[in-house]
Amino acid sequence: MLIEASSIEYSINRFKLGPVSFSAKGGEIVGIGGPNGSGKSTLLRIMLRLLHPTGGYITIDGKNLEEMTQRELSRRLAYLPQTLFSPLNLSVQDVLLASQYSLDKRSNKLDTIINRYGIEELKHRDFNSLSGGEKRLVMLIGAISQDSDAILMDEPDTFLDVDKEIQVMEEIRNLRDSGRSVIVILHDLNKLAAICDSVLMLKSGKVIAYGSTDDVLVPEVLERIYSASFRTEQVSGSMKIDAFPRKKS
Amino acid sequence: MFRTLRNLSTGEKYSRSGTLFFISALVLIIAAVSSAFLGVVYISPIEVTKIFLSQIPYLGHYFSAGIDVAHQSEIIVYLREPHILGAVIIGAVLGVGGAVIQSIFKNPITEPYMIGISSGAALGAVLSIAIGLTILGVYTLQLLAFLFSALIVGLIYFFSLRSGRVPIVYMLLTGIAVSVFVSSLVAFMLYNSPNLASTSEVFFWLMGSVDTITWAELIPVALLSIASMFILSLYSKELDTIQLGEDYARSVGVRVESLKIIALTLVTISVSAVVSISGLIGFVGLVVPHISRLIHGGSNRKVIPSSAILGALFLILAYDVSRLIIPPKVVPIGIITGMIGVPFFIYLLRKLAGGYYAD
Repeated sequence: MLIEASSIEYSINRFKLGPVSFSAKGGEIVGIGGPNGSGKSTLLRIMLRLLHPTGGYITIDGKNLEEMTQRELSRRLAYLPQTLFSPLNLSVQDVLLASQYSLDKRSNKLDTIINRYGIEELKHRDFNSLSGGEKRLVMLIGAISQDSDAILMDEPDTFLDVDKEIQVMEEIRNLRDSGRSVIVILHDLNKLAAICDSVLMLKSGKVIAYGSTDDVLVPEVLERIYSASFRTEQVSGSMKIDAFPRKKS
Repeated sequence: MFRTLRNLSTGEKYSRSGTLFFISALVLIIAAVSSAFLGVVYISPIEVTKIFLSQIPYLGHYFSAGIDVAHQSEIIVYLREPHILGAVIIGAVLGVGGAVIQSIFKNPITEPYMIGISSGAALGAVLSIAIGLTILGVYTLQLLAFLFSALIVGLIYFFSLRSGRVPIVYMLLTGIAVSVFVSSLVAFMLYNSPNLASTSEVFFWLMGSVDTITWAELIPVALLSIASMFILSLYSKELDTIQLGEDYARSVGVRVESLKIIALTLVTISVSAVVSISGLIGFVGLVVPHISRLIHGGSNRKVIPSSAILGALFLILAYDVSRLIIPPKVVPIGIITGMIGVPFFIYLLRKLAGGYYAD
């Protein structure tokens, strides 16, 4: 499986994104980072075909995204939004069923999933009554169980306590190990460094850097994006990034 | 019963859904049959039952022998039966329409009338009554109410289109704006109407009633309504998904714009059809889906069929009250649905829901 974005451009009012090119293959985690308003979510929405690019195109295994049916696209790309709200009080089970809309025999599969993740006691709860962490877990389980080739995640770590955060990061690694592709927006540079194979950094709609995590998450690049100073060091085999207020010169 | 329901977790509600469906359907049948015992002319329950049984094809003649008075049979067959079945169909359609519209608009305080159905139907009715149009024969009022209702919904949909999509908030706001415009038009026509009688006739129509419904009106409306409700029930999966947000629904593979067109068309056809023969019966479309959700949880797989049953039951009971409250007069049923429905709904929300809608 190979997702390729070629010179994607999008503009609305005074905001212009792109051109952005990158690729993600099976068994790879691609991180998207950058400050607020840099176009990360816009890029994700273009990949989900919720917005249509004004230039460029995206292909999955050579087939243009625009030529796919809604169902075909959902079988290729699953989506984990930042939040989900059920105004008419669906239960956790109903939300999981909704996430598997395009699968056949979804009811049979549902119990298997619920057992695998040990959330039997949440099954009949009102989705809105869950805590932020439980909601995120249910949404993640919904996205994973769509059996898509790739999953697009919009800040999967927000509102989570440390335990849940570790659980979510572990799940993302498991997805990679099972040969699926993950494209994930993360604000936390250390998390980008910890789980991503490659990273795309955006600022004001422009690509500042794209490449392997070790090449992109270096002080020289980060200082072009954020108005802070950075220091990186290797701590027990993984990279740690520290940010400091920039000294006035 | 409410106390017991409140104490059930959603899980227990699920496991009891089957029993609750059976009970509510049974109560509906009992309510509908016993509603035929009520009326200005007293006809004993035994006679009513005999008249019912005499209508069974092939076997009916075994029961017709004992019926005392022929005109009693006419009262039951040509008046009470179409009125009661009318109440069943109208209640069911308004309930299902409410559940669907609330899902599409992702909003618990919407109902089918808000997309222009009520104002459009009123415009059609006023054109027929105040101006005295009879171009479409005896059923000019009904046909005009149906056509104008569909026309106004169509206009609101068209005005809300933004590059091939209908953002649902636009549609809601456009619906409110156009409805105000059409209502002003209706008021203007009434104000200019040469005879006051027509004003009171329109007023009576606007309050809604089922006791003028004839078999000839009911049969086409019932066929349209049952077909629409059946097709809508097939879309319950999609309607569950769309209430989590249109973007999310698209991401899991739902063709959102097609779903909106299909659902809005079916709701418009069925609700306009029932409104054309009953006038505007308020509150059913708003309150019934909520009662269904309180009993069965939020999924439309259960909310749609349950809203059909409970909507029908609600309207049957309102019709009974409308005939009993100041006999021999029959109060327009729309007045009763508001008078009984609102306090009942507030009671339910306070006593039963707890933190259910607290967010």
